[in-house]
Amino acid sequence: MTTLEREQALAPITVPAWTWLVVVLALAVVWALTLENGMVLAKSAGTLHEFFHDARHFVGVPCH
Amino acid sequence: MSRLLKLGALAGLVGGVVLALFLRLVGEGPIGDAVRLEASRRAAGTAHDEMFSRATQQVGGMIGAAVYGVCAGAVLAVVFALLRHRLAARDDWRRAVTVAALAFVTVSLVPFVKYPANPPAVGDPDTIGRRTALYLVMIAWSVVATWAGWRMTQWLRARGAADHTRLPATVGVWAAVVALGFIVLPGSPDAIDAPATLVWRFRLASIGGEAVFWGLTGCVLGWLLLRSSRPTPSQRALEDIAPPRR
Repeated sequence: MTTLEREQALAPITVPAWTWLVVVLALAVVWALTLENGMVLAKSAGTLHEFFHDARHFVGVPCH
Repeated sequence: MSRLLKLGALAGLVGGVVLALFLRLVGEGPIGDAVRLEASRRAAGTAHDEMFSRATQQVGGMIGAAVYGVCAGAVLAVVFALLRHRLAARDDWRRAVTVAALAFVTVSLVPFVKYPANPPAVGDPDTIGRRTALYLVMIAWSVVATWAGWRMTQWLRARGAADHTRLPATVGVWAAVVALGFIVLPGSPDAIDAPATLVWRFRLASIGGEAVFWGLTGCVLGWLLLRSSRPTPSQRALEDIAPPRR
């Protein structure tokens, strides 16, 4: 690859608005999986916490 | 964009499945020891009903790792889309690996250094809210630090600075912002009363798992991007007859 080609500007990828919805959804799932301790999902939080217990510890989030 | 998201989620799934295997093979050793330590301490006191058996928690942990992988991969794909045209690299594989490496340092390594992962048996249930908040603030500050380094590198590149000036200056700005966060934020409120060897076996397994996850997810995303941008045989045949004009 020549220097000329490398310096050619790449066209930006258009990021449509719905992409941000996916990002929020993905982060919400990660939240439920790792950080939820009853702040949002009061009742099922304990169940989620215990089921994903080992993954929570392993990805390094604070745990009980 | 939707194609890129799918590739990111797929790459994250591959990384997440390997993270799950890593958790099972490397992480469960120290986790099991810590759970036994916890149980032996509790034996003297009151009985404690566990909601799930250890076997279920191990399976749940592996499912959790895979789901975490898919979500993190999707977010990685969006960050990649936002940064791609600003990353000076030879191809998309190098760009994907660069973004994944930045993600590892930003959301895994820097928060880990301030608030390292702890195995079961360490952690006071009463401080979980405070510890979670501090952890999230550290991640947010780490994102600020990476952003500051990024701005520095873009500014110096626009001014035509050589790499031997630009890169140390970028790392310097990033390190200064990270250090400020380390100094200002309070330490973890919990005393660690488990054996140091056990705690550190777990911590090394944890950060090792994160390194494997981000490294692999970046590589796989890069491979998928290279594969999907390669011209199909018919396109190549056409180019042989009529090479595209430069």
